Amino acid sequence: MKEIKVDLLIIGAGPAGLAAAIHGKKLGINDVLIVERNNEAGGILQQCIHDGFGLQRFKETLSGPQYVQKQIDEAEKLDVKIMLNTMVVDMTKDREVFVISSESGLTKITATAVILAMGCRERSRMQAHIMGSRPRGVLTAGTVQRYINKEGLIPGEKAVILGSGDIGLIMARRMTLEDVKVEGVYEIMNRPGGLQRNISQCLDDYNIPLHLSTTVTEIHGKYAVEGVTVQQVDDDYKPIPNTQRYIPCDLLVLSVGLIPENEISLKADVPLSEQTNGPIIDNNFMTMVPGIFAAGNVVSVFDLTDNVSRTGEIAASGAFEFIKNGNILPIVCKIEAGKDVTGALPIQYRSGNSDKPLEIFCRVKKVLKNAVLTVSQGDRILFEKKYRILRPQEMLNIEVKPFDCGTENIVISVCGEEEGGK
Amino acid sequence: MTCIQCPMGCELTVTTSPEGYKVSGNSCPKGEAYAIAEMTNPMRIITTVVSVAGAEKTFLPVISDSPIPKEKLDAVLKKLKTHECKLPVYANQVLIENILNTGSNIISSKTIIIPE
Repeated sequence: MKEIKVDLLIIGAGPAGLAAAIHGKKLGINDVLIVERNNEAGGILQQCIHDGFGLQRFKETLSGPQYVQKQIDEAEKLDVKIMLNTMVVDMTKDREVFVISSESGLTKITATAVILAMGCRERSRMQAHIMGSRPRGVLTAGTVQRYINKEGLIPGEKAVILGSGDIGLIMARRMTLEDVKVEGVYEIMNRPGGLQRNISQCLDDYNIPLHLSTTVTEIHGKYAVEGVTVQQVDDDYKPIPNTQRYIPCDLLVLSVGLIPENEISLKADVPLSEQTNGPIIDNNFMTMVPGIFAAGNVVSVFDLTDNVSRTGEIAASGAFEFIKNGNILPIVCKIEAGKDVTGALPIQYRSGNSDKPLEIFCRVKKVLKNAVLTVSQGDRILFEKKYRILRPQEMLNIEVKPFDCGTENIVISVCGEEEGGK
Repeated sequence: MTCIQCPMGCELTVTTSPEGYKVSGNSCPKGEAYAIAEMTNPMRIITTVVSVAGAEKTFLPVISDSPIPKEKLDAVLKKLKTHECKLPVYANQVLIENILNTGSNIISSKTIIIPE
């Protein structure tokens, strides 16, 4: 078996892994290697051909391929090595990573630091719990996107979309432009899952109806999809009797959420959080296994690519210090999601960071107007910011100025007016 | 209307007065310009994929380098369906200049040297 040693190994060449590699190189890490199972770098953004990426990072609206092309070009200039068509098959907590490729067979890579950047995976029909037979023609939105944008294939003539996540909304427009009739988008929640701007530019622009508090309760067809039954649901998401409607269609597109992809993390005994489904990370995005860091959607689903790349840089800074110093300081406190806040990251705070700002990512639980977000430790307010409106669909990224951290938990909470004037 | 210029998605209101359109609810000048354009001449960025000559399985993602009037989107898409590009192609390379006299160029979204 071939063996190599590197300073920093990154698993996954998407927008998180590429940002981590670029930042690591700029900080001065000598050997930076990315392993990527696909035949090109860029990750899922290579099939996200629509625009709207990079507004924060590059100050312009880019398509997915344009966004990652910028990163690929910069990585190349900085001499980041990328092994394509290479899959990780095993990994130990001592940062020995076993990879396989048709070209070189099995290779053992020993790394001083590892950054996990595998991204996430779509929820499928299994996780959406839909009754009925198992015909062809039930696809996730990302699969439809791959068929149309990468393979040049059109997977159906008339589609129903379940779930109003952003990818589903984007694909509603994309399919319409490719002459697939989109009957409607059905959302079990009483509010859309995706961003308001995508409702506007992907559905309203093309007169595609969005049905809230409605879900698909049965799939019909033995070999191929012939139709679906949609049904309204109550506040507990239970189907309301006698509200069934049959829709003939040959394609059911699922856009029902994303799950961080952590099979490799588990092989190295990286503990995961039940709240985020990703590794438990500290303020440098290091997992609870020393020297193993994580960045991007493998940690939590960030939605915005700009945030994904930002976490890559945070992890690279952490990895740089780990490679340089090697010592790990103790955890001093946890970071907690307080009132109306969820999915707060990082999860714990490590000492020895008082000279650095603390970057926090979190979401609100419900739509709040004229809201104030507060980060506090005990009686001390570390950060405060006002917002005109906060929506659960939008991940917040805030920066707390350097502070001397105490031992009490850091709590993020938000106060605001609920919709409907409460 | 919801502004589509960035993920914030501000709720915009446009009122007509003798002095012209007045926009409220926006957080930046882009929102104001968007709202007025929606009232007068709605525009959208267009993205799609085009075929690659001699490479059946490779498709090139393309984008317009500026927004195109909404009523011309269909015609632009139709034209792009018949377009074939040649390799190598580089990111941001102009493929079709001033497409259908819209003033916008269709540019490549990525670099492809050899067929995928």
